[in-house]
Amino acid sequence: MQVSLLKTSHEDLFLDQGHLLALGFLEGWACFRIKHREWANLEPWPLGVVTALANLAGYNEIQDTQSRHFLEPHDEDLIYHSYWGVTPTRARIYVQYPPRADIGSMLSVPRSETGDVGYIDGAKSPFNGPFSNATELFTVKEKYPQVQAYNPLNDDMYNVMLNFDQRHYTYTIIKNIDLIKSMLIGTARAKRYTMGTAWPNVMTIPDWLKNAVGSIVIEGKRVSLLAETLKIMEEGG
Amino acid sequence: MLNRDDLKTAVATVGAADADVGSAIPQNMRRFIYAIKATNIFNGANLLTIGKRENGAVGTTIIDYVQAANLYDTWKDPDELLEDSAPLYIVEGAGAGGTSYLRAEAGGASFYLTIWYIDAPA
Repeated sequence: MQVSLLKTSHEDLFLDQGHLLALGFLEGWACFRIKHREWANLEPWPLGVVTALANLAGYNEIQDTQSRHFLEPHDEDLIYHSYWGVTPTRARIYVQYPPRADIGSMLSVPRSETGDVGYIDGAKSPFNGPFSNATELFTVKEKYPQVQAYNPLNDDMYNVMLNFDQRHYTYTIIKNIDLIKSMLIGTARAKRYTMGTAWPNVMTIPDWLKNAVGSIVIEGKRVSLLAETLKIMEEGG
Repeated sequence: MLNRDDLKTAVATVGAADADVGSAIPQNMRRFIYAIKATNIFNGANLLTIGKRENGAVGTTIIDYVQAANLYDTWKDPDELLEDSAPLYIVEGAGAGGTSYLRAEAGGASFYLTIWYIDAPA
C-alpha cells in the first residue's frame, strides 16, 4: 500500500474537455478532440470464486444479464476511458483486448493464464486505487476487453472483485492534416493510445469509425485519412 | 483501510449454543472485524469460541478462542484501535449458496461479546 501511494493517481490521467486524443488502429490513427466528459463507475464487479491454483471457467466479458458490456460505449458518439483495480491482492487478472488478443505476452507464443507473465494483480493495481497505468483502456463502440483470473495461492479466493473508474467522452473527429501531424509527431499535447496489442497486429478499426474518419483532399487528390496518418507515423508526413 | 465513518458495533450475549453474531454480511462485501471485547458472565472458567459461516454453510468454521478463568474476566483486542490497524478477522459476504455470518458460542455458559467492524469489498 505504501508503494502504491507513490504512483500518480489515475484520476489525473483522465482527459479534460478540449484535450486531443489519437487512437491507433491497424488501418491508421483516428484523431479526436474531447467535447464533454461524464464520470461513471462500476464497483464492485464480482468475478466470483477462484479456487486454489485455478482459473475462472472462462473469460469474463464484464456484461450485464442482457449481454451489454459495461466497458463498451453504448453509442458511437462516445469513447470510454477506464482504469481498474482488483481484490484480493494476489488475484492475477489477465486481459484480452479485443477478445482473443492477449495483452502482456513477452514471448512470440501466447501467454498462459496461469503463469508469471502478463498479469495485473492487486499489488500492482489495488482495488481502492490508485490504479495501475497498465489497466488503462480506451474503448469505442464494438470494441471491448475481457478478463480472466488466476489464483496462485493454495487457498481458495472466495470472491475476486474488480473496481472500474471510467470517464465517458463525447468528441469531434479531427480532419485537419496539419493538426493531426502535430498530434502524432509534433508539438501538440495529445494523448496517443494503441488499441489492443502492439504485436503482432494492432486492433482493426470498426467500419462505422472508419467511415466517420473518411477521406480528405491533399494536392487535388482524395486520400484516406487513416492511410495518411500511417504515412505521418512512418515517414513524418 | 479503517475508515472511522464506517465503523459499526454489534453486541451479543453468547450462550452455550453456537449462534449468529451481528447482521448478515452483504453480497460482494467482506466483514472486516477490527476489535473485539469479551466479558465472561459465568461464575467460573469459560471458553468463548468464535467462528464463521460463509455462503450458506451449515457448519461453523472456528477462527479463534477466548479463554476466561473467572467471572467478569474481560478480553479486549487490540488495546488501541488505530487508523492503520489491521483487521483481526475477515468474514466473506453472502454468496450464491446463501448467507454469511460471524458465529460464537460459550462453552461454560454466557459471554458478553462486542465487535467493531466495517463491511466493504476491500
